[in-house]
Amino acid sequence: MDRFDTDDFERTLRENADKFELDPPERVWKSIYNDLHPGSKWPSLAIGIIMIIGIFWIGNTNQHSTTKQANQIVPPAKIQEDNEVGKPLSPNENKVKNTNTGTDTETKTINNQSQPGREINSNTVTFSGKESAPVTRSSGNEKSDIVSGRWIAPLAISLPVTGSKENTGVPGVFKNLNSITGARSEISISKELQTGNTLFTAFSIDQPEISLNSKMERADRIPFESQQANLEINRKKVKKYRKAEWTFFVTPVITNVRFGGSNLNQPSSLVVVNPSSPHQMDLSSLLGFQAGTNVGYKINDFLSFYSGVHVNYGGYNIQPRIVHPTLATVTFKRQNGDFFTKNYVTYLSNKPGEGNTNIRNNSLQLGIPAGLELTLFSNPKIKWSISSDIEPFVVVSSSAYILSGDGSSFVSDPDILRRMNLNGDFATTLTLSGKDINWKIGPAVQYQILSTYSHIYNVKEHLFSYGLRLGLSKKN
Amino acid sequence: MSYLSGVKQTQMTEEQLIQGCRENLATAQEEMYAHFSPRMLGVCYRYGKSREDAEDMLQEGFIKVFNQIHQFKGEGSLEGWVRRIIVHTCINHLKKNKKFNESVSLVNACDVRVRDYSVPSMLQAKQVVECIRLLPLGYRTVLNLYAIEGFSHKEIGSILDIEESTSRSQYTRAKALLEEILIKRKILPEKEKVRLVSGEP
Repeated sequence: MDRFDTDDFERTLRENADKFELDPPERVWKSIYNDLHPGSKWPSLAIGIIMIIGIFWIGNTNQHSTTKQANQIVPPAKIQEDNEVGKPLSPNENKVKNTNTGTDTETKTINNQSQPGREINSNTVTFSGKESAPVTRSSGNEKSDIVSGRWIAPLAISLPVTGSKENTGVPGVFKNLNSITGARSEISISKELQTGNTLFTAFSIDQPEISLNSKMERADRIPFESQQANLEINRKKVKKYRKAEWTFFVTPVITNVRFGGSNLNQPSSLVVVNPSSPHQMDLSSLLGFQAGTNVGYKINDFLSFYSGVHVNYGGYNIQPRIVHPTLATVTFKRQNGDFFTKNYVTYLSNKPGEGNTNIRNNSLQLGIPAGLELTLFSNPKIKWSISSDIEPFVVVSSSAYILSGDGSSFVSDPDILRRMNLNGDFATTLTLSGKDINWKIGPAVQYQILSTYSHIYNVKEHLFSYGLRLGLSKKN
Repeated sequence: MSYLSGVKQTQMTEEQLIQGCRENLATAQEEMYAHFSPRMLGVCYRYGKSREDAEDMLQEGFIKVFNQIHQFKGEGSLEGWVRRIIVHTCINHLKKNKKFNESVSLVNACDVRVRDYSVPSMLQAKQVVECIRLLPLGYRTVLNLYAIEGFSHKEIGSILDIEESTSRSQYTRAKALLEEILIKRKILPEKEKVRLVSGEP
């Protein structure tokens, strides 16, 4: 500014322009203050994270209450009463009751026209402290055994159903299955799945009615102050909107699966984690994707908080064999330690069979991440950062096949899947500055922290995805 | 500025203010902001496309002021130093806009019509600023930098990444157009026209 040859016109302009003042709104100073003193943002961030965790916890608690309520449908006293030897259950009764421990074996009737015939085992199980290494007994006997104090009967039942595949189309299957109904346990087909040329028939527990009153009562009890606090947070978000950086991304991923826990009916622990097992599963990875948008808020020059909406799709393929219809059983464990079994009829075997087919365990998830991004290097052209977040998600749709108790068959039961879960994400990103848009690229990994299945299924499944994230954001 | 707590209670000297800002004290920063922000928002308003745009510039500019306050050596006035940062922030803000870059480097900008809507007749300062804001963005920026901030055409060329000659021609056209607007709004008398147009920048 070394020019002083101003004429009258410029002098007039300058004088008038210098006199001109405007009062800035309060918002401007607050934004400046927040930028200069970022520590004051932490309370609101902490509240946000606590709220997300709270929502997740409430969702998870509600899922548990479903199981608890299922337990309450048939009181133990009634179970004992109904399970007296020789007393047939009514045609619509869904449960085969067992005494002493409150353990019940849940089966379904094949149809309502129950015919006397072969009786399916509905053995009572009791445990004396230890659950591990149960002694499996032959399932060939026809009567229930009730002995308390120690394990006495197998939980796994895998009965081949007579009849050749050639002459057992759908009606044939029904015909054959009808022949295994008995007075003690009447089975009904609740679901039929067609997998390629293979008919897969599964049994499942009827979901008990869930009372929504408790949830509504809880919502009513939210204090007015909390609602006001939420409104205040929303207002602050609106004020900060203009400083936010929106990133849109897509990540093609390869998903693998890791198993933990143990199959309750398998003395040699989980078959799928033991490669030498004769029942080893044939698994292969699935190409999935992660897509969504992140909105980032700068905490300081190096650290940003981000959240957003993510859609994830992933899973893995299984190659089972097609066999004649087989009855398979899976044992589950309730929170209180009680065990119960569910019976399924399936064509999908984990043993050598007539032919191979392909089934897929996958899920489509909608998640809300909350994480931090740390800038490691930055110049006007390029930026290198690492980010990590926790992502609570809901399962929008899914399919899952699990191994039967003896590891010989695959069955499907949507009831045992978690509806809400948690992912942990880690990514490192290279941001290239374009003319109007910043391009982002970098590897990303995601780990599903909680098991795919709810706590009643002892096997823990964790999905692990990795891929290359491609994203863009508008230049500020 | 009633929302600025503590500004009226603490009347710091300029040295105390600068020292407080260097130590990142919120009270000192608040007082400095309260003191300079109305005038600096007026500066931003002349460059910005809208009031909201100007507020964004002000916010960005003051963050730079407080972050770079340790670079102020006391040579020249504090207001001049703050103003220079604010002006550069405004220019950087405008340069992010593609349309601005096109408009400012357009040598043969012509046929600009003066819109015939009324400028609020308040104080003359307000009227003049509003008339400046009626100019196309490229013209307005060069005029602001040359006539009001006192930059030379060479400096303007360097700041805006344009030729010095482009800055000159932009200014000549801006001046002519502004003069036309001022006469139309009866802020300048008709006789001034000849003298202003004939004056070389």
